[in-house]
Amino acid sequence: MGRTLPSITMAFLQEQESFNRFRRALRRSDQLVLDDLFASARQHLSAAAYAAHSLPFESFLLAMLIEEHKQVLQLRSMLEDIMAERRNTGS
Amino acid sequence: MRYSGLMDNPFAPAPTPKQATELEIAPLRPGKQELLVIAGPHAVSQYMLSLTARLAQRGPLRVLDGGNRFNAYTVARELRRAGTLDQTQALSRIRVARAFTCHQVLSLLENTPRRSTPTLVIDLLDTFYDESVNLEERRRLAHKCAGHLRSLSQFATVAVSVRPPRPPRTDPSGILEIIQDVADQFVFHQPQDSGQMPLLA
Amino acid sequence: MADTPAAGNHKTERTGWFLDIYTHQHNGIVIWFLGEDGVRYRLRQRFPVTFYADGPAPRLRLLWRRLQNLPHELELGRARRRELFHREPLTLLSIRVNQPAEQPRLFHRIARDFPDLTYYDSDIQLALRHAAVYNTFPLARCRIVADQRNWIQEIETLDSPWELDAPAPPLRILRMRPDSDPARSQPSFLLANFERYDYRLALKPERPMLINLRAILLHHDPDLILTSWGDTWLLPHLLDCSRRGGIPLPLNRDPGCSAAHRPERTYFSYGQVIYRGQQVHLFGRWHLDGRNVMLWDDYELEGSLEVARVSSLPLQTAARVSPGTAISSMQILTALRMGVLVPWHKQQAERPKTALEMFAADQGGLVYQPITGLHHDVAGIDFISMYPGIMVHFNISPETAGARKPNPGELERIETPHRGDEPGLVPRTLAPLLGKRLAFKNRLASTPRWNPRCKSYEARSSAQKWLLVTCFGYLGYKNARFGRIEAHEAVTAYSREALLRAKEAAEELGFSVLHMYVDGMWVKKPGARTVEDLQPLLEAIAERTGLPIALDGIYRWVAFLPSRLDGRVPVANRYFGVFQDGSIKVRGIEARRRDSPPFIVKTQLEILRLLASAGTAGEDAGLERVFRLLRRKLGLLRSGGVPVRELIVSQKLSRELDEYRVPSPPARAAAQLQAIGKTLRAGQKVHFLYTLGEPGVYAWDLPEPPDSSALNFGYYRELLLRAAVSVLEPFGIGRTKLEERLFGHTQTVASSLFTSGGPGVYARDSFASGEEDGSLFKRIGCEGETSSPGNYNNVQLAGD
Repeated sequence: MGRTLPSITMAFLQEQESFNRFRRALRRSDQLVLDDLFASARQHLSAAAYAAHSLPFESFLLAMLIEEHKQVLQLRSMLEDIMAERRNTGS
Repeated sequence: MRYSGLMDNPFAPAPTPKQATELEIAPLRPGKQELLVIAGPHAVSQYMLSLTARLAQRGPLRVLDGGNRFNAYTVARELRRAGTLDQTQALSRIRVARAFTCHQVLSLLENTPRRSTPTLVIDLLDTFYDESVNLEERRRLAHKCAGHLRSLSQFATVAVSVRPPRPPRTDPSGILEIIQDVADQFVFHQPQDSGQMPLLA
Repeated sequence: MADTPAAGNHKTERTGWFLDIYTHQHNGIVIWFLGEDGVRYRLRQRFPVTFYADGPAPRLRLLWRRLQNLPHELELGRARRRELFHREPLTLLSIRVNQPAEQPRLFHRIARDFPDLTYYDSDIQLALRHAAVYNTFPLARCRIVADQRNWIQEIETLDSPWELDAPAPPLRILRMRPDSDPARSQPSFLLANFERYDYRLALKPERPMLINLRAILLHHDPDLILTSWGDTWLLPHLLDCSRRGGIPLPLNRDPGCSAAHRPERTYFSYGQVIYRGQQVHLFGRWHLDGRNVMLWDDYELEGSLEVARVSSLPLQTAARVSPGTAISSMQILTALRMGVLVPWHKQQAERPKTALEMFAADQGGLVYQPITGLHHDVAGIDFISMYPGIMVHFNISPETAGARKPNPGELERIETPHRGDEPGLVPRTLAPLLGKRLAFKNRLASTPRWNPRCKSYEARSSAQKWLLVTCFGYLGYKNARFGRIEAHEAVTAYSREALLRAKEAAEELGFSVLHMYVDGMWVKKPGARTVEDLQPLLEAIAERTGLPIALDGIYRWVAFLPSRLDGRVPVANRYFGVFQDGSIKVRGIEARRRDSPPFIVKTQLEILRLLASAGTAGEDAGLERVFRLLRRKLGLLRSGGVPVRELIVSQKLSRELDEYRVPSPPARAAAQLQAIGKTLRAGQKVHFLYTLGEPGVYAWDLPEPPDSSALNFGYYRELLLRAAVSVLEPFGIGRTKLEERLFGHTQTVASSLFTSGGPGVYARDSFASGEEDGSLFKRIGCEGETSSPGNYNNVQLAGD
């Protein structure tokens, strides 16, 4: 379309690529976790694009953190439900 | 005029024996008024973007983008890599304008104020390879551009990058020669040389 | 027909419709006019044309002297005219050429000798110049006063392109086609039809055919000749026969002209290679080739007529040009009417911005990442013609943009558009077109489907949409005469802002936003299931953004698909869903890809229909029906029961054959055609089948039919399974599960079979068994394989 600035997806892939050495030196199981983190950052690329930072990695980190925290909140809520149930059944 | 890296340059005119021995690539000296032209694949855009970053650390500069190659992310990354303290300030010092036709390239050069700010032109000739404008007209425009580049270089350093036309078509247009002829320095950059071209003196 | 106006005073006034316009070789122009009395009149008109030159005074003086010595009838002078980007009008040399036929050659001569001057109004089509003065356009209703030699004294247009219900004149249409596709086999007969007359003429011997055809043309005297392959084969062939046999064919109504041939061309546009076949234009009547007309497949004649009407381009041109050219013509017409100079070359370059500003400015529309998976009761909301709407509403035009850069503070103005500002060139051009589109959309919404006018409204509305969709691109860079990248950027800035405000409105009203994409969004709220439930939201959005918005529909369910490579990664434009009225909407999957074989497309759509009709409760029953369907289809494939033409893949050649380093599948097929003398150009579509062994493809247009035992059924089987998985995944059926349900066991395909270069060589039964840990694409994703996406995508073909 004639745009000059690469898309946010391309910028993201470049950032991901710049961590290839880091990834390589991790254990296999940790590599899979890292991949999961990067994948979760992709849920919020549009926000990173709109933020329009010249160094977008910080936006990607925040995105990862958002997804991570969502999980924490969900787990916390599940835990509270379980504990409440336990209290109610008096065990 | 000094020619460098002549070994594999199909575009340079036949060298005189004296020039053939000069293989050293002289780096850019920002304070000096001169016109440097670099030819290579992808209009040597990586090098030009690194150069943009380095110059932005020192002061204002102008960039003319003739081939839709100004990747601002690359410049930002280079600045960070070079340890720039104020990223925003440095990026604000770079003034970019894009041209999408050869007429626009000329118009940009005509309207660039003659000042002591360095000027970078990335991929000057991309639009000149577009055959929808007839060859005579493209040559005429190239001559005028060459004149403006010369004139700008009287005030500050001007670095211009060009790419050879895409294979398998060769370029009988002679347009690259028109630009070469006005250069103080002409460098042909080989892909394997990446990383070895010094940026600034 | 006399060549000069009559001396006497005798005049006749007639009303009718404007048909055709072109320059006369020697004197003035020719206008064909369909009178209310049913007579087709050939009229003449004086029509001098003017163009301008600008530059240093000495050069202009030299040009003046040169022009004075030329034999043409010229009037030279100085004129003050407005240039779009300058505040002050320019003073230029004006050159008025009395004979319009002479202007183009004169201009090119001058431009060659004085290349340093700047020229304006120099390369404009006659029809546009005429429209600027007299408001004419194809099929416009006019009142014409002519003298006894048919020279026009007065012409008044009684109609406007924006008229919603202009009554159509009674056109005489002759349809002609060869009895077979000339690319595949030599035709033997010419089939023609005029109203209730049908003709069948043997193409050989040529003499009787020509004589009969001549009689048909003279007898019926059609206004429009509609052909198949008329541009690329039929008319050139007929003209050739006519020349050889010495029998003139009155294809033109105008005996003084010969039909105009335009050669084929390939050009680049937005990263795509576009091919246009050769064209044959007639004089006095129209020739349209159904195979070479832009909007034909969907909207036939009505679509092209609408484009001609709103652009004022002659029908034969309007039908064949790209929407970008049509919009450009409209802008030129507006400029002429505004008295703004039309530059020959677009000079206006970008104003410098800082690198920092690039990050915020150089973005496209807002593209969200959807919440993947299946969702029920979802409303699809769209801004109607968003970008043109923004241009009109906020007065964004090349000459107005750039002066102010939209930044967050500035965008508050989104609430108070600049009504005080003089409307810019582009908003002026687009406003009536946008108005017409909105009016038609309303009409369509309130016209029941059984009404015969529905089809006509749809055709015209789509033609308008087709034009409007392009005009955004046209605001920008390269070849648009009046384009300006700053305007382009301003439009996208406003669009992002509008979409975010729409999101905020939705969230404040309790909706959750599932997805957003440039000019549309998908929202959901428990309990919101009817059109009335959505009204408050639509109103809120319209108020906050100032732009027209509409409900696309309410989905019973919609599935947003993830990336084929990694199931965790959402993708913006791959989804499918069923509306409450039962209709299906599909984007980005095989059924929508233009290169998919019909067999795959049909099967995928059938699966969707089965899923759609299942209803929420019966999803399991629906799935059972899908599995039965798939088993049946796979059986058909295996037994050779699928007609070969349904397995045809159609892909474009992205470059000339000799430019390929590694030939892609279409390139290999094109090479086969070239070997027998059929050359295909870049941008043309190649039709082929996938076969076993080398080269792995078989071009469809080869004279010998393909050997059905050589077809690569394994490959098509794989395509089918992937197409099925695309739509079944959101329902919990991934590749592994699908194979279990279909075959009772899994047979996963090793990805190496699909490495770059094409499907490679493998026989139907040689499936390697792989690991069984979830669906294929998830496995690739988890392993963090960075191997080329070509592994998967080569199957469908991006590989070019």
